[in-house]
Amino acid sequence: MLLDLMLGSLLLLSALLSLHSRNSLKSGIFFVVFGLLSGLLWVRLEAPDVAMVEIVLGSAVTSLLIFKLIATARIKAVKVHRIRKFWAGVISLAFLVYMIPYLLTLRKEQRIEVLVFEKLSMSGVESPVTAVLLNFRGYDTLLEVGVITLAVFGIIALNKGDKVYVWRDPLVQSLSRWILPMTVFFSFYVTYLGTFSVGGAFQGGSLLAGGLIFLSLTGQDVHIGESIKKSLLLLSLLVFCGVGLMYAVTGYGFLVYPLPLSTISIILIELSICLSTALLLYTAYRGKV
Amino acid sequence: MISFYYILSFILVAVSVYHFIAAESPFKRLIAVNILGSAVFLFFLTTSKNTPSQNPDPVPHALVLTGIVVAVSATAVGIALILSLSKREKDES
Repeated sequence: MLLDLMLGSLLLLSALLSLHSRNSLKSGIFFVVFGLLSGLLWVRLEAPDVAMVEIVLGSAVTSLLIFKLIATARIKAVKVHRIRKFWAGVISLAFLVYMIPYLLTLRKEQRIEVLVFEKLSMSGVESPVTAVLLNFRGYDTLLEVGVITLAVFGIIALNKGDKVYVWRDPLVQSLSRWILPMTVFFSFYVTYLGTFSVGGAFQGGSLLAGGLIFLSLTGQDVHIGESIKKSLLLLSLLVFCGVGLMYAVTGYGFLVYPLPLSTISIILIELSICLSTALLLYTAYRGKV
Repeated sequence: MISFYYILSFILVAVSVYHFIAAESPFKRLIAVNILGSAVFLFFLTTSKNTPSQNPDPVPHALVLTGIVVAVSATAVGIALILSLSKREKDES
C-alpha cells in the first residue's frame, strides 16, 4: 500500500518535471526516470512481461533515441499563445471530468482471463501472455511487426546522412565488444523463456537491440553484409506470414496452428521476431541500414 | 488501492493532454504523447488486475505489450521527423 503510494507519486512527479522543465536534456532525463518508475509499477500490478518491455524498450531504447535527438538537433522553443493555453486547460479538465465518474462504477468483474486459462493447454505454450500474443490474438502481433517494419522504412527514408555522436573511449569500445556475445546469449534465453515463463520475443529482441546500439554508440558496427541485414529486417514479417499462409493452405485457417505443431511454430516465429526486432531497432537508431 | 491507480492514470491523461496542446516545441509534444500512452497502459493494467480471480487477466497485458512496442516505433519516427525538420531550418537560415 505504502509502496504503491510512493511509486505512484514519484511517477506523477517525474512526469510533471519532465513536461514542465524548459531544458530539453532535463526533460529527457526525467522521461527516462518516468519509464523506469512505470516499469516498477507494472511489477506491482503483476505484469512482469510488460515491465520487462517497458524497462528495456520504453526507458532504455527510447532514451537513447531522445538523447540522439538532443545531441544532434537544436530544439527551438516557440512562445505559446495564452488562448491556446486556455483551450488546452479546458480540454484537459474536460477529460478529467469525463473520466472521474468511472470510479463510481468500479467493481470486481470476471473478465476474459477464465477463457484464456481454460484454453491455455490448447495453445502450445504455457505462458498465458505468449499464448494470447502469438496464438489467440496472432493478428495483432502480425500487424505490430508490420508497424515496426513500416516505421523503420520511414526512418530510413527521412535520414539525410546526419552526423551521429560517437563515444570514442577505448575502454568503452572494447567493453561493448565484450558484452555483445553475452547480450546475444541472454536475449535468446529470454526469448525461449517466453514459451513457459516471463519473457518473450519482444523482450529478447529489444535486449539484443540494446547491445547492438551500445556497439554503434562507440562508432563500431556489426560485420554482416548489407543484403543479409536487409533480409533480416524483413525476416519476422515473412516468417509470420509464411507460417500463417502455410496453415491456411493446408486447411486449418490463417494463423490457426494444429495442436502438435503449435509449439514449434510459435518458437520459430518468436526467434524470427527476436532477430528482426533487434535489427529493426538498431536500424531505427542509426537511421540507415 | 485499485482506485488510486485509476485516479493516477486520469491525472496523467489530463496533464499530458494539456502539454500536448500547449507544447512549446515538437520535442515536448513527443514526450507528452509518450506519457499519455503510459497513462493509458496504466489504465489497462489496473483493469486487468480488477478481477475476483487469483491471476490478472493476460489479454490486456498482451495488448499493452503490443502498445509499448508500437509507441516506441512511433516515437522513433517522430524523432526522425524532428531531426529532418531542424536540419531543414538550419539549411534555410
